[in-house]
Amino acid sequence: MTTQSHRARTLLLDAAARLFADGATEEVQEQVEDGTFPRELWSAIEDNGLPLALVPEDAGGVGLGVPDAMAVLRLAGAFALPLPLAETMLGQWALASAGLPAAEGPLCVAPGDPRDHFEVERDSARGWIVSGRAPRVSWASPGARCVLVCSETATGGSRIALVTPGPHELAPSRNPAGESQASLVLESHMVADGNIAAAPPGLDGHRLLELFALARTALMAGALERVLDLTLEHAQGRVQFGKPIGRFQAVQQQVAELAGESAIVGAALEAAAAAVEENAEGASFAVAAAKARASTAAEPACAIAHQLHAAIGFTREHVLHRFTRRLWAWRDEAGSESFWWQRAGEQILEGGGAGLWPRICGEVSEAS
Amino acid sequence: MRPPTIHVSFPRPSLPVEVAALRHEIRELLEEERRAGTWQPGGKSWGEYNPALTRKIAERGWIGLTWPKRYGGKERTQLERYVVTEELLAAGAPAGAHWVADRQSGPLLLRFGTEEQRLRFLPPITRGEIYFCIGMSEPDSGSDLASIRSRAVKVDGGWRLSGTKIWTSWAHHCHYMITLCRTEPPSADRHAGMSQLIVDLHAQGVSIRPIRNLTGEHEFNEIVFDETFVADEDVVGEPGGGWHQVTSELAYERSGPERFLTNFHLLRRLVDGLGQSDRAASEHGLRELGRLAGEVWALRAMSLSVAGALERGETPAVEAALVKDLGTHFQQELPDAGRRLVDQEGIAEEALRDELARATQLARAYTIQGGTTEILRGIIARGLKLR
Repeated sequence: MTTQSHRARTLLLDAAARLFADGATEEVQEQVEDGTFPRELWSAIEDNGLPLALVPEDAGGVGLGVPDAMAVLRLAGAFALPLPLAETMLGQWALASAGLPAAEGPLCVAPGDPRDHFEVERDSARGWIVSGRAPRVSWASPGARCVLVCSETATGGSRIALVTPGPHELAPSRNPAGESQASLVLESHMVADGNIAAAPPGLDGHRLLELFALARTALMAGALERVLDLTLEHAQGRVQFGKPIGRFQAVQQQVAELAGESAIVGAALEAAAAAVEENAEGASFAVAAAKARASTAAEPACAIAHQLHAAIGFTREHVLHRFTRRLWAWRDEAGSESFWWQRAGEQILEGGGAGLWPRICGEVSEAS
Repeated sequence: MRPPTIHVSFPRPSLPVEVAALRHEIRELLEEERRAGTWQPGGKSWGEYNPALTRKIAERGWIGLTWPKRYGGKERTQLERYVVTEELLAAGAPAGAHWVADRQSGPLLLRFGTEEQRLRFLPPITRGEIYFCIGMSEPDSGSDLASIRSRAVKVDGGWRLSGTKIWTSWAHHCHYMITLCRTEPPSADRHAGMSQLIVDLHAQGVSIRPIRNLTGEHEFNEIVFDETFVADEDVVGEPGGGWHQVTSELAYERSGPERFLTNFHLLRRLVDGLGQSDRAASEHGLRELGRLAGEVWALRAMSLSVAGALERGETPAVEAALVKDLGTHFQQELPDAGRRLVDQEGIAEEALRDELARATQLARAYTIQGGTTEILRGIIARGLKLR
């Protein structure tokens, strides 16, 4: 990385950190869990351009690379930012990739779960018709705009559609962290010509799911860093038997394990983000492994953090749950570890024993 | 809420473009030598002694790759060295003869040795002619390294060393041991008064006794020094500065790919076993395969990041300890996970079952050698300011 781009990245992350620090207050967190969208905070983030991070500069965006955009999301995870920043980043990116103008945010996206599927067809009388379902669309709520990547049976390609589902098409619910989500069922939903366009080659539903999984990995990496930081702070400050509990070996051993889980997810995120940025042959495997590893880390990391925080960490007042509840939610969103380990395993099996090492060291698989 | 403090960080280094060609050359040499019968896959990689292969590796210039040219090195980067080691390990090549000298003895001499020592030892190491072993553990000093009792007493022109070192891999084949011993009586500062001596294992007063491991193999040894003479010019660094030197050696020892790729060949065999089975792999089997391969991939990202930090001249002790902790648990678990896969997926390969059974036994060593899990986690906790 050049000094100049390093400096630009630092400035960007500092600005994002200030925004998140000022905005993601306990008050806002509780409001969001009560079902109120924090408009003011969202506007501040929009003013900063973050939702357009992945949109190229010539299309009016910020033109960040994938690693830098993931660094922003990692920071968002470290503040438990209660906003669809990842969703809007990806939604705006998908729209721009198809040559569609940026939409008014916030956005939600699908497929963002392995079960999601949408089909589109051209009806000579009615225009573009989208049908399909997604059982849990993050941040979807009545009136929200959704960017969908739909399969087009007639051409075998994909189309990007911007839709605003009606109340009968959405069934709102909440994820385990109290963030809004909804089941989305579209039956012959008409899309105006100006809101739909052919996806560029390589952008299909699975590709969007992969990027969404990478984005969730980034949020999880940040949340894990915060969980480690909170746990260390607690272990250093909480005095029992006349000394900080962090002086006890039994506590130290657990903190070290927690640090390991946080570390490996951070390293996996960086490697996967770089593979996606370079459009490397092994990027699919890298993303699968990174999201699966992050999802795998959630339970042991949260278990250790709560055990060491003990009773205070089990309260609503303490901030720990802002992060652990999100980790428990995010590990299932964008595909759980079962889903992604299986995808990774399929790719490994396909490459055979001879393709295993090239796959791991990021080379082109010789066998595929 | 304040920004989180980032306690450990694993930035991704970019590998120089030359590594693709380097990988290719290494694979070609290993394939050539395998055909020539120099080595066979399925062994213990860096836990296996094969001087014939070591000399072939040396001929290509891959031992001491990062060292200055005047000492026989090639002045290449740590990341290129990383690629050499990971390729050797991934292929399961028996690279144990030169492993310790290349990984830590050479770098130790480069950092703390005299010019005369470097000129005397480094070129023959790079030629694959002389091998070093580690002289740290003693019968009564395992994890508590500072409690060692081996002692060297000053005599005219050198030192007389007495004491016992133990668990020393390949001491019966090695030429030299870098021996940590007391050169001053114990004092209030238990880390003071230690020195590292380069001991010729063929010198008078050195006896080497084999210790067979639980599988019956002879890899490690007990070495007894009985008033062994060590010349002044064979003291590494300053007498009394041994503790600082030995701990800096450990950053090199802990973060390398040998902490998760030692038995990688088993994973390759499992992939082939699943692929060639009459039965289609179950979803569970695919997940398990993905998990094992994905864990290697993620561990490699961590380990490579530490190599990048070493290249920048940093000594990331906590990050290195994290790599070893996670990596050794992975390679310890791999044979058992493999055993379950073979069983559940009906992989009909009896030889693989036998290898997994043997590997399960050998895997006990991984979380003990080079710093036990408990010690590593203590180091991590200290790095995180809990101690």
